[in-house]
Order: sequence, then structure tokens, then C-alpha cells
Amino acid sequence: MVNPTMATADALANPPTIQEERRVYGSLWQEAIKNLRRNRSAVLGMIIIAILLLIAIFAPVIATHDPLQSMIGEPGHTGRLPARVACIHAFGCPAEEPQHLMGLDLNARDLFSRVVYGSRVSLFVGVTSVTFAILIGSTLGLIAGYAAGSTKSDSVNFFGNQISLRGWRRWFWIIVFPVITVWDRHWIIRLIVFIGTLTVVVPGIVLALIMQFPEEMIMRFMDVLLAFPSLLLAIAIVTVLGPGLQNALLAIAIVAVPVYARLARASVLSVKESEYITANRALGANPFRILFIHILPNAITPLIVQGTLGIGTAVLEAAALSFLGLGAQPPTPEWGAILSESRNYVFTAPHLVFFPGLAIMITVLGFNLLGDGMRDALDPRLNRN
Amino acid sequence: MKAVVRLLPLALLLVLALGIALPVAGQDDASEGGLTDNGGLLTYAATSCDYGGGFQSIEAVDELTVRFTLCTPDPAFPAKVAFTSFAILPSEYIESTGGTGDLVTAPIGTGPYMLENWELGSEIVLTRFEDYWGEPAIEPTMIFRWNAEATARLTELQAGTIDGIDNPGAGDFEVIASDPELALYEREGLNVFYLGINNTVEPFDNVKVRQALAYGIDRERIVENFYPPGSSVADQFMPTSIFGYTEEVEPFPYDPEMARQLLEEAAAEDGFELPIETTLSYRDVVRGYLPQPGVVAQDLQAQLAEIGVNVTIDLQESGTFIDNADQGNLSLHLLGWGADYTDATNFLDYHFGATASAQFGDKFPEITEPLAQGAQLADPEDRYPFYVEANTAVRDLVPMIPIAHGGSGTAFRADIEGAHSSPLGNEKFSVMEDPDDDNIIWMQNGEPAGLYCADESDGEALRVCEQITEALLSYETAGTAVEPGLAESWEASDDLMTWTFNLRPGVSFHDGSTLDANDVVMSYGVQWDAGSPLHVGRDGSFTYFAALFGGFLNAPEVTE
Repeated sequence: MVNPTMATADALANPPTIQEERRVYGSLWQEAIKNLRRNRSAVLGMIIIAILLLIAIFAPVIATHDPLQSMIGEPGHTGRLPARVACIHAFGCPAEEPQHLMGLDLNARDLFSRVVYGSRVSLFVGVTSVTFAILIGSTLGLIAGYAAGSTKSDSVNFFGNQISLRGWRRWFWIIVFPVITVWDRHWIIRLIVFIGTLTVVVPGIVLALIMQFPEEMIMRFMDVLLAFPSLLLAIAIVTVLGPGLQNALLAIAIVAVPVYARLARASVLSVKESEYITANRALGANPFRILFIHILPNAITPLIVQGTLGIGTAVLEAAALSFLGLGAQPPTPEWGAILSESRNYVFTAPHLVFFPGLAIMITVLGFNLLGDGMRDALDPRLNRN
Repeated sequence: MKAVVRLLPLALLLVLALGIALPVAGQDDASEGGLTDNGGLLTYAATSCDYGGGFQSIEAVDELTVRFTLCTPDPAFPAKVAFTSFAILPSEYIESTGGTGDLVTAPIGTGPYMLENWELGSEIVLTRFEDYWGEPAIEPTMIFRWNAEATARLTELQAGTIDGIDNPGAGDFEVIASDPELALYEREGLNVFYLGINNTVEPFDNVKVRQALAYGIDRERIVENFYPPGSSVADQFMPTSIFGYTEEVEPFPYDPEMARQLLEEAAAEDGFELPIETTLSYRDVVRGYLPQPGVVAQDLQAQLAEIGVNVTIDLQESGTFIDNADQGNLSLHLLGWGADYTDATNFLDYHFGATASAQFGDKFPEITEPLAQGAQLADPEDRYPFYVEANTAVRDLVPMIPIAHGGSGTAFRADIEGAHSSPLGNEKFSVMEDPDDDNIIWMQNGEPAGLYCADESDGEALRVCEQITEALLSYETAGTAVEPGLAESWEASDDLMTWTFNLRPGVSFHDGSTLDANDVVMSYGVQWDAGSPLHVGRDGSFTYFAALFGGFLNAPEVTE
């Protein structure tokens, strides 16, 4: 592991070229991957995820049937069809009966094909929502962390002083706008001024507050989000936006944002007082450059670990929302939705809940194993030598 | 002080002006009738039949005789009077509760069981009423519980913690039948499940589109695959065993080719694009007519996609769904109807009559006119042709597509004697005997919203009321025939407009008071007279009174 302090001193005397930076980070990543490969559970997690990815990508090839096609009236299928158990020729199912690896669901659709296609939905929701949450969350966290502790007189006030109206000018407009609203009698002018107050002054105050106290405003808002049980908040968001896969994805992402914001802020706080950052600042580097080129790469490890674990949680939450009828809408094959449709048939047709449940479990297990392994591999404090 | 003196005349003037204006305003809103007291005998009467409802007057002739005078002949009157919503409650109790409050949570009736305790959210406990006029209940205690999940109900029954359940899951019928510990009682499908179409929503305003849907739905496939044994395909809205079913009216056959062709013609006429994009709303509530809501909705979605109608499935909360359906806010919806009494009027008039809700959009005179005529005749042979006409019009104009008459059932522990299922859903627990202990524990789908059943329409509430309260007449146990109830006998005038009921003497209520004709007048009157201060109920809709006997007296003016 390279000592950051030494690297900074080095950089001060002799600024690194891009190639040199790449070489340093490259070797760091190589070390991490080496550690990861030594971790057995992480390897198992990676294998599970790789298989799942392959299944999702090649779903049309792997699935034996159209996941939306009911088998009622199809050649070879007779009698009362729904909720048939598996028929596998290799395991003694009569050859004249059509083969269904996991049986049929309540609408007489091939369950195997539905579970296979379901992997597409679940992985898509998991990866997309976590990516979204990391992008938003870490940006907010970086800003909050970098701005933490700065005061008005601090030269590194993040947004600079010139953006917002300061001193008496701000208070003048905050007071004058509403006064005009009441004072002037003509309704058109009142309307314009009123809308102006709503669209300019109120957001102006909020913006000014955020600019003045970025850390406080961002982190307290994150605290508010964290105060809700995550699934409950997701349900509330979907209820407002309306049920559907996209809205569920958005809800899961929003719920996950504060976790990444906090992580990013904590990492930034631990990194930003380092000498190489002070040196950069002294050299007059743009704060965005400092943040994204110098701080972020040194603060990204916990985000990656949490992100991997977060995909598992997101898959689970997506399944939960779909189970409640707020996520994927019928007839979309989604594991949680399949579970929900067949929950009343646990005793009469247990295969209907067993296979999608198993699929959810394996997926979450895969991401959790990989996430744990990555934490061990990427944490420099755990020295394995 | 000066100010007070100066303002005094003004205040006096104001009071005077109000005193003159208020009675005048009151006179504007002329009363359509009301309650009169005739030396201790009450009469509720309308000044004329112009108010639009079915009742002219309800009169306590003497202490044990009640006479109903109707505005139009009603052959189904005894069947309607026997319905749970028209149970007789003590008039003093209605008055002392103000028509709501305790009346809703602690009903007093004449039934074989009386309410002991309603543990909100968990159970309702009834105890035997020792002074019951008829055969007293066999078991001293009767308990209602509820669970929306069919599996959970069956699990409890199998475990023996309860004695009987309602509506076993469609897949569980065989499980119960093959279990020697349990007994299955199939319930005849006196109901209909239909796909409702709102004809005010484009493109369903075109009759060809509606007919295309009728041609495009394979009803046999749905009944065969998703309904329990004992169910049948619905050829028309009326179930086969209820008067009003007309076998000469043949349904549209399943013909997807025809459906696609009709859709193309309609698209060319009205200039809309195919495939049609629309919404199919339903509620995830298991009823006898729809044992597997989600599954059937998805199968219909797949079937409609075949003929070029892409539907988004829209699951709504039960109460919201019913409100939306009644207000005509839904384009396509899945709903059903179970018989309250066995007559065509309960099915056809309620849904397609002139006063029906906006569920299917605008009314068709081709349907409302024969229905209005048929409802006024007594002789089934005279009525029949009108129902042929109405059913034919319903088929051709397609306000909805009837799909199935769902068989359902109850299941009991095998050793419960007297266990049964009622085609009307009003199982009678007072005739059941549990040899193991001193109670009958019954688990149904849901908790009642209230127990003042004049203002309830949900079967879960009605079944509880059935045990506690009684109406003038009653339905036979496990059947639909009308029997004497609180009235020993009744007679109708030849024109079927005047009905006289002779009350059973010596019937006492759970609070000890004795049944008399005034109780009957009040029980009906507070439902009928929307202007009465006692016309309150739980939410004040009094759905069944409005549905079965036309409009309310002194109903607030509806400005449209």
C-alpha cells in the first residue's frame, strides 16, 4: 500500500504525470483483485453473479417457452392446467407429456421460462437503482464532506461568494417581493409578483441556505430520509408516483441515496485534511478538480463495497415492492410478483413459491458474498501478509 | 355604552329579518311526507308517489299489524322484505342511539344470538339469546373471526382451532373433499361474474367494439381452468335457476376472427388506432363469483391481447374500486353480483334499470323499458316476455360481458352437525352443533365494517347481522324460499300494491322490550326518509333500500 502522505510530498515536489498516476492506481487495483481472488466466498459470489448475468443476457435462448404464453389450448396440453408440478422427461415424466422444468404457474405459463426472464428484471432493477443511488448519493456526500467545517471567512467556501446575493441586498429582496404582493392592487401584477415570489424568492432562500451551509442542509436532509424504514419510504414514494417497475426502481434508488451520501462524506472527511489535498489547495486548484481527481479515488472503496451489498438489498426490495403489487405489473415475469400471485397456494402448489423464492435467495446471496469479499480485499487496514 | 345603544335597533332588525326569512326558506323546501303518530300507532307516509320511490306508506294498523302501500306493483316484495338489511330493530333503540353510534357497533335484534363483544380487528363473540321466540340456538356461544387468505383459513380449520370457514381456495376443494376430518359444502352459483364496459369511454362508445370483446373472450376456458367444481359458464347475466333467466337468448359464441373483424370495422368508423390501449381494473377480493381475481385478470389480459386490445391491469383497493365503478370512472372492470333474493329484479334492475349506477355508462331505453314493465307484473308467465326482450337487448348492446356463475363453498370440521352452506351466503349457525365443545367458531374473509345492516352491503357484515337480527320474513335455512319470520303471515292485495303483515305475538328483543308494529314502521321509516334525523347509519348510503325500493323520501335535491 502506498502511503498517501509520501505520495503527496512527492507530488508537491514533482507533480505526477497522468501516466504515473495511472500506474499507481493500476497497481492498487491489481493488488485488490489479487486479494479478492484469494477470498473463497468472494469467488463463489462472483461465480453466482456471472452465471446470473449469463442467464439474464441469454434468457431467450435458455427459456423453453414464451414467459407470457399460456399453455391452455396449446398442443399436447390437456385437462385442467394451472399450477401443474414439474414434468421432466429425464426424471420419469411420460414422454408424451410436454416437458416443463419447473411446472406451470396459475395462468398455465411455463414457470421455468418466467423465472429465467425474471432474472433480467431483477438484475436490471438492482444494478440500475444502485448506480443511480451511488451517483446522486456520493455527489451529495462529497460536497457535504468537502464543505464541512468551512465558514464564511474560509477561503475555500465551496461555491464562492459571488453566486448568492449577500448582506442587505438579499434581505431587501426577500422582504420587498412579498410587500409588493400586498401593496399593489392590480390582480395581474399581484399574480406576477406572487408567482415571482414562489419561483424566485422561496427557492432563492432554500438555495442560499444550501450554499451557505451545504453540509448541514444536505446531511440533515439525508438524516430525514434515513429516519424512515427504507421499505416503508419506498412504498410511500411508489404510492405517490404510481405503481410500475420504473417508479419502483426510482423509489429504491432514492431510499438508498443517504447510505452512499454518508459513506462518501465520511471518506472525504478522512481524506481532505491530508497534506496532499492542502498542497493542491495551496496551488490554487479548482475545488471540483480536487474533489473528483484527488479525493474521490481515495474515498471510493467503501462506496464500491456498499454498492455491491446494496445490489442485493435492491433486488430484495424490488421483489418486496412487486410482491405488494407496486413494482412490476402483470404479466411481467418478476420474482416477487410470481411469489405474490401464488402465495395462497403454498400447500397445494408449493413449487410456485419455491423456485422464484430460491432465485431471489441465490441472487442476494451472490451479491452479499461478493460484497463481503470486496470489503476484505479492498480494506488496506486488513493486512494479510 | 353609546355604541351598544346605537347598534341595538340594527341587531333587532337583523333578528326580525332572519325570523321572517328562515320559515320562508323552509317552506320553499316542501316536505314530501313524514312520520305521524295516531294515538300511539305510527305511520310513515309520502304525500304522493311523485317523489320517485317505491313506497307510498308504512302504517301500524294495530299493535301487531303493519301495512305497506306501494307506488308500483311489486311481485318480489316478500323476497325483498326478508332481506337482512330490512331487519326489525327496537324503535326506542334507534331513537336513543340517534341512528348511528351504538346502533352500528352494538346492534339489538330478535335473533337466536345476541352480541356479547366485538373485539375490533380480531373477533366478534355472540351468545345464545335465551328468550328467543323460535328454536333456540344449540351452542351457547358463536364466534366470528376473519382472514383474507384462503390458505390461512384452511390451515386453521385443519388445525382444529376453528369449526368452519367460508370460501376455500379454488385449489383446495379437492384437498378438503379428500380429508376425512373435514366436510365440504358446495354453494350453488347464484351469482354472476362479468367484465363491465363503460360505454361513455372511447372507443367503447361504439357498440361494435363492445361486441368484439364479447366475441373475443373464451369464457369456457376461464371457467374450466380457474373456477372450482360446481361453476358454470354464464350465457347471460341471470343465473339459470333464478326467474329472469331466458334460455332462448343465446350468447355470442367465442369467435376471435369475428372479434378482430368487428374491431377493424369500428376503428375505420371512429378513426382510432389498433391495438386499443386501455385499463382493466379489479380488486383482489375473493368472492364466490371470482375465486382467483388476479389469475383471471391475467388470463383475460392475454385473451384480449389476442384480438388487439392491450390492457394494463389496475389493481385497486376494494372500497375505492367499488366507488370508482359506481361513479363510472373505470373503462373495463371485473366485478360480480351475488343474489340477495331470487328474482330478476335483484340482478337486472339493479345493474341495468333506469336508476342503476353509472357503472356501465349511459342507460339504454331498449333495456330499461322492458325491465320497468316486467317489474310491475305478478304472473311469471306475463313477465317472461319482457325479460326475453331485456336479456336480448343486454346481449346485443353489451353493457357488460357475463363470464361465469362461480360455485363456491363452505368447509366445516366433519363432526359439526347441521353444517351447511347457503346459496345466499347467509349460513345459519344457530342450527349447528359442535360435539367437542360449547361453541361454533367460524372464519370468513373479512371483518364487518358495521353491524347496522340497513347501511351495509358487504356479505361479511350481512352474515353476522343474520345471526343477531331478523326481518319480517326470512329465507329457509340453506335455501332461497321465503318463510315467515317476525311476521307469522302476510297477504297482498290483488294489484300487489298493498301488503299486510301480521306480527308474531310475544317476540322480545335482546334488551327485553317487545316487538310491535311501531318497531317495524321505524325500522323501515328511518331508512326510507332521508329527511329524518335518524337517517344516519354508518356512512348514510342505505344502499339496499335505495336499490330494492327506489328512491328516498325527502332526498336532498340533486342538481345536475
